[in-house]
Amino acid sequence: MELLGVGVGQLLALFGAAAVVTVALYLLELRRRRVRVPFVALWTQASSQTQATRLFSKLRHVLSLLLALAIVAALTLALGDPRATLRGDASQARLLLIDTSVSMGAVDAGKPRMETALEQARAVIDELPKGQRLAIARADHSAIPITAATDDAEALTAALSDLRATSLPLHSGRLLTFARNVLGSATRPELVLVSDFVGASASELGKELARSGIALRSVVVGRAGRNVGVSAFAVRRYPLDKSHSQAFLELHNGGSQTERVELTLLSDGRAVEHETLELPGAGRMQRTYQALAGTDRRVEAVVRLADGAPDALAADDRAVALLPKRQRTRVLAVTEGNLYLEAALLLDEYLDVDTLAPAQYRGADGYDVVIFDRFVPSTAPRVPGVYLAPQAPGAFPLVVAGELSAPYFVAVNRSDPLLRFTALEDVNISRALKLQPAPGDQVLGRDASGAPLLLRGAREGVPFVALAFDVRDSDLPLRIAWPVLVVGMVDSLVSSEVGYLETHAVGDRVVVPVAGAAVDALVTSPDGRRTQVAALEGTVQVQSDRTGFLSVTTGGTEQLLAFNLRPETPRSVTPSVAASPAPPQPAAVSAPARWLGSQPPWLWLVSAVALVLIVEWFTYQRRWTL
Amino acid sequence: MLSAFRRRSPRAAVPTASDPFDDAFQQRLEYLALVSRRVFTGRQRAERRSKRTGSGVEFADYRQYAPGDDIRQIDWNVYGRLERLLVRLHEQEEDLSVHILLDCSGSMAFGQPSKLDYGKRLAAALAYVGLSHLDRVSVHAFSEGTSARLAPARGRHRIFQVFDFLRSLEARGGTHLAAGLSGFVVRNPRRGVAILISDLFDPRSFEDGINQLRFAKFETYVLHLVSDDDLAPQLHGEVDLQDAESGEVIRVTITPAVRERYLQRVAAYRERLERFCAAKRVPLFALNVGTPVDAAILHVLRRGGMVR
Repeated sequence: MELLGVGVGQLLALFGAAAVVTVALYLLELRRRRVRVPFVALWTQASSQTQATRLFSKLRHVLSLLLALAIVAALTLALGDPRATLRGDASQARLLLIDTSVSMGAVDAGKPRMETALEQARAVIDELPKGQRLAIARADHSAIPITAATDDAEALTAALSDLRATSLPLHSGRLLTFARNVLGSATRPELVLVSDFVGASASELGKELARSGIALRSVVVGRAGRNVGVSAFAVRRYPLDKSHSQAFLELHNGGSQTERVELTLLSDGRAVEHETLELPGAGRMQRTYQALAGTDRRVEAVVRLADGAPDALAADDRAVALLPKRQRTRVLAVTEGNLYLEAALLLDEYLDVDTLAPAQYRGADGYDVVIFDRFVPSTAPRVPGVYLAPQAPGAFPLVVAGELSAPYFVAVNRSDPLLRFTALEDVNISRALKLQPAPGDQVLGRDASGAPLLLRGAREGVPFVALAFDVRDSDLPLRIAWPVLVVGMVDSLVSSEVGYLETHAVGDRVVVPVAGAAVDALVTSPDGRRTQVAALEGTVQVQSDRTGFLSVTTGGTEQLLAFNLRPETPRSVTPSVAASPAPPQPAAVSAPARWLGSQPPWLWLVSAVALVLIVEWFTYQRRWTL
Repeated sequence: MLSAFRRRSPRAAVPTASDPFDDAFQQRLEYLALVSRRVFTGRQRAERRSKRTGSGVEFADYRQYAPGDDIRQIDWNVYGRLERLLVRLHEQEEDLSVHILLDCSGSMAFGQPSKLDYGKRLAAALAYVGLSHLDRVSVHAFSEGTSARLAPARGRHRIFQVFDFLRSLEARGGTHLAAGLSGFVVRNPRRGVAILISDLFDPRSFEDGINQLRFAKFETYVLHLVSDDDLAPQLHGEVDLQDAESGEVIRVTITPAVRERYLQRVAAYRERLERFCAAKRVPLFALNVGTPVDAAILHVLRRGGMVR
């Protein structure tokens, strides 16, 4: 008999401790209660018939102790999970490990690779000798046991039915550690690995396992195939032009032949970019797409073979990314009427503009930006401001030192984001105010005398932008630069939102902050599975083994996370050719000793204890027999 | 009714929780009186007839006038017809001696309330009834080796002495009815009603004790106190049973069978007591301590003919 559970030493220690406690309790039980009764003579008469059994009573106490110790011994032995020692090769410890990594999701000549792997696994189970126990586990980025070691072929086969390929790469190190932990102390351990060995070398694994005395039997599945995919994908919104975004992606070709591929960028299901490319064999290509219009929230990059042939691995044909949600900006324009200004503000659909006459101005609380057109309020606003041709006096943050006649831009800071996509050097201006900047103010454009025509600064932490001339005294409104400049000035004053949302790799554990009062969150995985996850200290932890968008919903608020393949994911689906040769089949063995049927012995031990306790309760506690 | 006495008695100024009676209970007892089936001689007038002739109301007999007789008792009608001086004799109403005998042995400490407490209340109630009707009431407490006695008293105001006496009693010692009651008989030659309150757990023989009273011509009543601890003890398993009086210990494994045999022994013991009392014409009242004392007094004793 061998023990599969707790070791012999620990069992003996456990039994010793439990026996000491049992004997102590037994001695305590022997101490009878002393009860005072009014007239013991009646009891003496009543119990006189049992006096003759006093010897049996003493014997019964000894038997009771022995029974208690037997129960303790049975329970302790059950902890050890005793199994009958098997003869011949049936005593061999065997672990069937099935690769469920991303490459196992490939389709080989129309047949899913995973299906082939499961057929091979069933063949391994079918060839199992009588009494031979086998444990099944799956491995991708980590190794997870599926069944305990058992010789029940039916249960083993049933356990295979739920196995699916994930989007995670195979992690050889974790596979090895798992195999050593399971088989390390077993008799003649053998690991049967059903895999395509993509990203892992069978010979290297065999060598590593051999150091631990574990034999590796490789069952290679899969075949070479054409595979193109997206290796990397990132999208960001332009800081100044949030209606456009920039995308970066890397494509790969896992096959050896150059492939023509069609790349499509989609945003919320709508195509925003399409291109046909040529990918060299076993090569990569990086592409950057500028000023993508129409991108909103969810962005996907999809690649497929241009000739319409099916791609071997679908998991890497699509990559996803998220753009930050655009916030609307509330703008107050204080003007007597400026068609050029109001028209420019209409160009940005994310601006909510209110117009007010200077006489009605009472403050700009509640707005994100206030624009003063030829007007300066008596008190400085507490929100960022744009001053167009400021008219002193008032709470203008600059000193007006006079007027400039026919100034023009001679120096423009083109590196400043505010002035991107603008050309101001040839703007004709009839007159402008001569502004004196304060230390710390940034002059963005000046005239020949050095007087600032466009500058920005901050007073008491509130930023502002000032244009020294009235656009109606210039030809700037006739130029493309004008609306760009207006929108740029507003955007530069609004606190910048997150411009880039990180994309997560499958298998990563992501901490998502949720509302503090939320106790749980509904997590919808990329494949549509819904799971209720408990929130802990205002966060939930999510993980995905599939690529795509994962949503976390709490109290009607949805947060999206984008999951793509891990960077180390192999791009080829071609199996390793260096598979270890199949070991000889174990010789047929005589029928092993089956220990009280197919149930594990500990179950019988515990059942026996329960039966004894029931009998003891009816016979001793209830005294039906005495 | 007793409140008037309490106001005059400093010791009873503040009623305590241990007082056997409340006012309502006392008022119900006011109308009860002890009934004796015989006529006893007494030293003072009371409400019962005696064999003595005297100053009572009921006519008894005539006798020849002798010098010194009260001439008011001469029946002049008879003298007119017969010319003989005859004196009318009347039955003199005498008091009744009521002796309350309370067992204070260790076995009386059992029960909820204890049999001793219950017996105290019964004794106090009976004493009050007797005192209210000008009977001479004495209370005797006995157990093996000890005895205490409250001297005969008359008048309901003496009830507080009875209470104080009963309060001082504790359950201890063994039960030896014959010895305890023979001592009572010797010290009390005046016959009367003897009310024995006991659980009758006498390892020797309860018959000898009751016979002591019978042989001394006391009109004997037996109030047999029982408790659920006696009738259906909640014991099981391995126990050492210690006798509350003798201290004797027996080791018993109480199984359902043993418990059943114990109940049979208890039933047999009570049956023996009933047979004895019926044969000797001694009224027997089995009272469970769970029965309220007033119910016992008002119903059980009335049904037994002790009160009317």
